[in-house]
Amino acid sequence: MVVIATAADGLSEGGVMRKRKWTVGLASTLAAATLGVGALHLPAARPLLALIGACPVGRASASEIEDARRIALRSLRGDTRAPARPALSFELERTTLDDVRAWARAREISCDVSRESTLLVCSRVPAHALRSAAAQSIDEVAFVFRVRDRRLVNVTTLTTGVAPKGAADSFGAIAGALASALGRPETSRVPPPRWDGARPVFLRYRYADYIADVSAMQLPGRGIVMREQYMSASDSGS
Amino acid sequence: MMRKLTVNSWKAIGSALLVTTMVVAGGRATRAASPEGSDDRGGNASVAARLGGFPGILAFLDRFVVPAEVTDPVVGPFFVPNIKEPAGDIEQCLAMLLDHDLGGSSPHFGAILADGHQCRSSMSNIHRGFGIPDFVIDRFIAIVGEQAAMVGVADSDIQEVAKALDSYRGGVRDK
Repeated sequence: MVVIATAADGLSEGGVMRKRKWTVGLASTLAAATLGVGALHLPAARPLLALIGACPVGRASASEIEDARRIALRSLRGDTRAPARPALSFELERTTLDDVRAWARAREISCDVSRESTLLVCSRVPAHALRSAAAQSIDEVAFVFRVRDRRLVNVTTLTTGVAPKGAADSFGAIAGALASALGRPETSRVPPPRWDGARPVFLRYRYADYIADVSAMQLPGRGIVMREQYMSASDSGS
Repeated sequence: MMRKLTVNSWKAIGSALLVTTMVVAGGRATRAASPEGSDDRGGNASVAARLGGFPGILAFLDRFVVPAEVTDPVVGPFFVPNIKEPAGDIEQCLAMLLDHDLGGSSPHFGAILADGHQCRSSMSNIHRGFGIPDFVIDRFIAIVGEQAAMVGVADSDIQEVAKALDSYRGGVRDK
C-alpha cells in the first residue's frame, strides 16, 4: 500500500486517471477471464474445452487421489485379514516419509518427492536395499504416503527390459517369499520352463487390509516389464 | 462420423456382456493351458469381437482396469475422475479406440458421449502438459495386460491389446 501511494503521489492528475483506467481495465479483464475459464468447465461447455485441449490445471489434489484410491479398494480388497503384510523392507501404515527418505539417503538412492509430500519416487534401486527377492536392480520404486500423517500405504516397483530368465527367477523368488509369509495366493500363473515373456504371469493376494500383486509380461519394444505392488487396503490405510 | 452415446445404456449392456465375456474368457483360460505358440484365439475373426466389442471392452476397463490403475502410485492420478462415476469419459473413449484398433466397429474418434464430451483424435493434444514419461506408459500397459491375464483373456489377444496401446506411445510421451 505504501509503495502504491508513493508512486501515485508522483503522478499528475492525468497520470492518475490513466493509471486508474488501466487498473480497472486489468481487473475487468481478469474477472472476464476467470468467468470464461469457469464457464468452460460447466458440463454444457465440455465439448468446447475439449476442442481447445484438456484442462491445463485439472490435476487432482493429494486428498482427491486418496479418495479415489479408497473407492477403488472397495472393489479390490478381500474379506479376511492378512496374516502378515509384507512390503519389501518397509511397514505399511508405520513407515513414514522421513523414514524412507533417510533409508534412501543412507544408500545414496535418488528420489523425488511430489504431490504434497504423499508420493516419493526413487530410481535405480538395488534389490538388496529393498530386501527384495528380485534378481536385478529395480528401475523405479514409488511410495505413497497417507495424507493425514505421511505414513506408507503403498509401495510399487517397476523394472523394464528384464531378460526372460532373470524375470522368471525373480518372479519365482518373490512368489516363494510371499508364500512363506502369506500362504497360497488367491490366483497365480507362474512362468513355465523356457518362458519367453509373451505369456503374462502374475500372482495376487487380496485381503481386507492388504493387497499384493506381482506380474511380468513382454511389452512391445520394452522387453519384459516386472511390477510388484504391496498396499494397505484397510480404510485407515487408504 | 459422430455418434451420440448414452452412458447408462452402455453400462447396462456392458454389465450383461461382461458376464458373457468372463464365461468366454474362462473357456479361453482353459485353452491357454496348451503349449506356448499354439493358437489360443478361438473362432471369432477380430480381437475386438473376442473381447465382446465395445461393451465388453468398456466393462473390462470399468470393472478391472480403472480400479487397478487408480491404486498405482504413478498412473493412478490420471484416472481419478473416472473412479468416481460410472464409465467416465476416458474409459469410453479408450474402449472405442481399442475396439476400433482391434477390428471392431467403433469410430476411431469423434464420438460425442452423453455428457457432451467428444472423443478426440490427437493423443498429443489429449496428453499435452502432462509430461508423461515412458515408464508411466509401461506401467499403464502392464496393468492392462496383468488385468486381462487375470480374467483369462488369451495371451495372443493380450499382446494385440498391448501393441494397440503401445502404438500411441509417441503421441503420449513427454507432451
